Amino acid sequence: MIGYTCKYTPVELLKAFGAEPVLMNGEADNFDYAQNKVHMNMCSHIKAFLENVNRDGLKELIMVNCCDSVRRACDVLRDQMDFIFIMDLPHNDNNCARSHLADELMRLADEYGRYSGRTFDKTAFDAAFSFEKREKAEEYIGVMGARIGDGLYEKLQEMIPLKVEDFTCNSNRRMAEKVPDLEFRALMEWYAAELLGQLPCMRMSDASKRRELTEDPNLKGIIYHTVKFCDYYGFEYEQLRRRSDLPMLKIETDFTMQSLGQLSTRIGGFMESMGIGEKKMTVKSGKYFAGIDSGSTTTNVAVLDLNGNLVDSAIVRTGARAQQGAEKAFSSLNIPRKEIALIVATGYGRKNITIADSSITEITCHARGAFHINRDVRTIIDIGGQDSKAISLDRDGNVKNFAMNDKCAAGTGRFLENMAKVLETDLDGMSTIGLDWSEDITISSMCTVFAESEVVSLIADNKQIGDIVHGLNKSVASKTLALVNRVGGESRYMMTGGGARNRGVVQCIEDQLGEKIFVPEIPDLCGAIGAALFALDAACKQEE
Amino acid sequence: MNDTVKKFGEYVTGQISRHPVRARKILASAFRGYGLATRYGKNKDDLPARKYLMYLCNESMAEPLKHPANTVIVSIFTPCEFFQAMGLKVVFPEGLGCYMTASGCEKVFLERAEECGVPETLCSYHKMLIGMAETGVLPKPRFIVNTTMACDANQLSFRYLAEYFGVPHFVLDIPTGCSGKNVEYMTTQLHDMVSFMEEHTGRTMDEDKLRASVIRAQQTINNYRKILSLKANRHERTKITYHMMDIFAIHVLLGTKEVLKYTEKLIKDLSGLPKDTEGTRIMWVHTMPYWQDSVADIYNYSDAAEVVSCDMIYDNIIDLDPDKPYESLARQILCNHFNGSAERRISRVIAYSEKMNIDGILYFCHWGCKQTLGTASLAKKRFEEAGFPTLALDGDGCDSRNIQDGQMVTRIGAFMEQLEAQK
Repeated sequence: MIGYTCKYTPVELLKAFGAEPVLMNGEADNFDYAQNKVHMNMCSHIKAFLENVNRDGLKELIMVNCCDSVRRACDVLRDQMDFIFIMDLPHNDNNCARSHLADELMRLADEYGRYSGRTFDKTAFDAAFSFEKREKAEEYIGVMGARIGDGLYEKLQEMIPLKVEDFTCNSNRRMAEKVPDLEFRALMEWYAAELLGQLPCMRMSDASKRRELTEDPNLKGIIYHTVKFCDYYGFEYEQLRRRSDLPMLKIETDFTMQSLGQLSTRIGGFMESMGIGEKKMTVKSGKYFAGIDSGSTTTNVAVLDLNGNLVDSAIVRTGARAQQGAEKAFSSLNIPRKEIALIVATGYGRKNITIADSSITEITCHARGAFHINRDVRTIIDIGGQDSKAISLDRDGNVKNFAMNDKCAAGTGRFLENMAKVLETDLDGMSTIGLDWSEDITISSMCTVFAESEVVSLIADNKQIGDIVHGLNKSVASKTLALVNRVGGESRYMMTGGGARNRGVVQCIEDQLGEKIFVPEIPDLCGAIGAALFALDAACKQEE
Repeated sequence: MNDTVKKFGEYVTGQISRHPVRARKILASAFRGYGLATRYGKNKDDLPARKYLMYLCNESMAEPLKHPANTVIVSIFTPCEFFQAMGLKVVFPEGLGCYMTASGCEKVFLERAEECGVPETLCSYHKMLIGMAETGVLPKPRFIVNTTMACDANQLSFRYLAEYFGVPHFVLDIPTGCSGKNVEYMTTQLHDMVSFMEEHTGRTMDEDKLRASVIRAQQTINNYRKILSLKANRHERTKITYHMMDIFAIHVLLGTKEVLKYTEKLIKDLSGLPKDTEGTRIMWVHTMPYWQDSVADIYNYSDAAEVVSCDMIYDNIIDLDPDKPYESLARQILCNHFNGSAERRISRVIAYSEKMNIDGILYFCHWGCKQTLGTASLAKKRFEEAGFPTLALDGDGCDSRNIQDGQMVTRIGAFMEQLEAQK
């Protein structure tokens, strides 16, 4: 078994020598081994690759010098491999580049032949050129960008009701199906042209052919994947976002499965925004409709009557389990459960609320709730305990685009909560202390952990608490504005979630936006109201 | 950063959103003014050659901002003798990045780039260049030329800028290794690059001027050999800023009359320094956060601790043949220790550390540079096996948001104490 990780790898040539090339694309459980070998800020895929090479005890590798991280992985693995080859892949696709790649293929054939003691088998080479036929005329969701881990790709296929096509950087490998009869050097020249002629990855100098990927009429939406600490694809995403009208969701992973909860919210929200996979709800007897927003900090319930009026609500601490938080919230309502015809759950814990009849992501529910409260709203800024998000709406209140914070807690309620502890205050204190400031302090660290030590240094420097909190508020505002920019935010803006109760943060965001933000009376309830409205919709549809 | 610079940075930052062209002019004038003031000022802390280096680097930053139509954006490893021969000026990410940070106005550019979707994890020098373009401070160049060597960001930022400005773009595809075939491949590309330059400037390459530039480059390389040899047993009380400027001089400014003159002056100045070296001698690997007070305070003008050199000062010391400018410049790129396996760079650093009586190596892990980050552990192991205690230090060459000042000082301080104890 010889491991590889790039679509430009000459797997057909290796098969012609009787090798069994295996694409190394699995996630890692942790990076304990990799972080001893390379810096923690290296590309997460390469760290996962190192973990898996170590776990599987792989002794043969064929690498392509596609990026700095691969080159360095090769350097650190060299001593422990029986066979390791790094192929010099040109960035250009012209005659000189093809000739250079042909030289590299000849070098590989020579080195692998000597290592394995086997010779080139033309029949095996020909047989290796068989590619799975893509079925045409079927609607699909395209996964684009940087390679996506096997585990996550499998999950995507489970979560998405449409066919999913993988167009990420190490997939979509396609070459001629018929191999010409040529002498070896000429054959390698032909093969080099085939390898370089593939749809280019973003590492190649001319990536303009990639436009083809988004021109298929059957492509209904794009899930755009980037890998933490791989910079290639953030650029293409931005270009696509600006020029394509296709629905698009950006997700970033670190090649572990740890963020699956948040990713499922995003993917669910994305499908909902496209109207894909809507489920029918069965309405029970009762004249009220409830929405429950199960967040990481609080669980919020909104109850509507048949006319959509808010008649009851509750906000309680979620505690350790989502279901317990939900029960606590319902027991603090004035309206008894038996009078509630339908319950729709939303929020981070929505899938674990057994008393709910259905679940819808908080993206869709926040949009629905916000538009119900104020029809002028076009951008929602939601700062929750664990997630912060920006959602842009069209004039009918439908989700146009949304963005969420990645795994990093900077810009979330959790960030402010941690800082409150450092400053020996609470969230209510944080809300007002920063309003009264004199020195304009900038907290420059983007990372929560770094920011915490920056705050500690500021305290040590005898800076005023009000000035420090104002600096923190600006930092949250700047993170939030980055999300707003990603969704192309437009006026009017509404803030929801617990973060909207923080006056200091709201003021800093207003300063950066240059306009007043609409904050509803109970900002925490927006998602729950949206969920309740979906429950009411289901009842109305059933009556029809 | 002193209060004057801080106030200057705040003022320029304030100008950028509404008057980017004015901000550009202010920056260019400030660079020019500071360069002149340093060159002709009465400061006795620095060698006259170093003051001249400050002047010529500042001029090289100011000029492209003032005359963009005659400017090419390049990557640091691009052979710039060709541009000199054609009367073109160059601007490059590492240079502008450092200057913006040293001017106290980097944040606005870095944040602007991130707002435009540039990944936070991208090399900050490249991010800065994009932010400068997006704010309107970086003017539209004549065209863009970059190599693919050493840094993934090359493949992203220069393409981004070429599309943003709508200017022609040429990529020098650098193969790994210095084989005869690779030299041929590179030589062909350099000829193609010259054709590209001729097409987009309407000028013709004057081969005599190119030859003259390569002759100067070779003389400068010889001078740098002498400089490094002099520094091997002399103590120069200086600031680390000048090492970063040496990096500019030996790369994009190599082949200019000014840099040749600077190296001649520096040989003279260094020759006059006493031979005793009592302080702890450091070899720095990779770029330097010279604007960071906490780091600069440890080394600048210190007798106890000296950064003697940096590996980016000798990566390009490869002989040129003025009779074969294309072929020898091709070979120079290919033989640079940034091209190819990490072992090339590691063994070169060890060789120079041995020659220059180094006590310890500081391996600087610049944010976003996977090239350097990826071999931090391997390099540390090899350096220590060769007898050089090594500190792998996380930081950022130009983004103060990515640094942990207190932690960095502690780590460098402990390292210096360790080295002193071992002396």
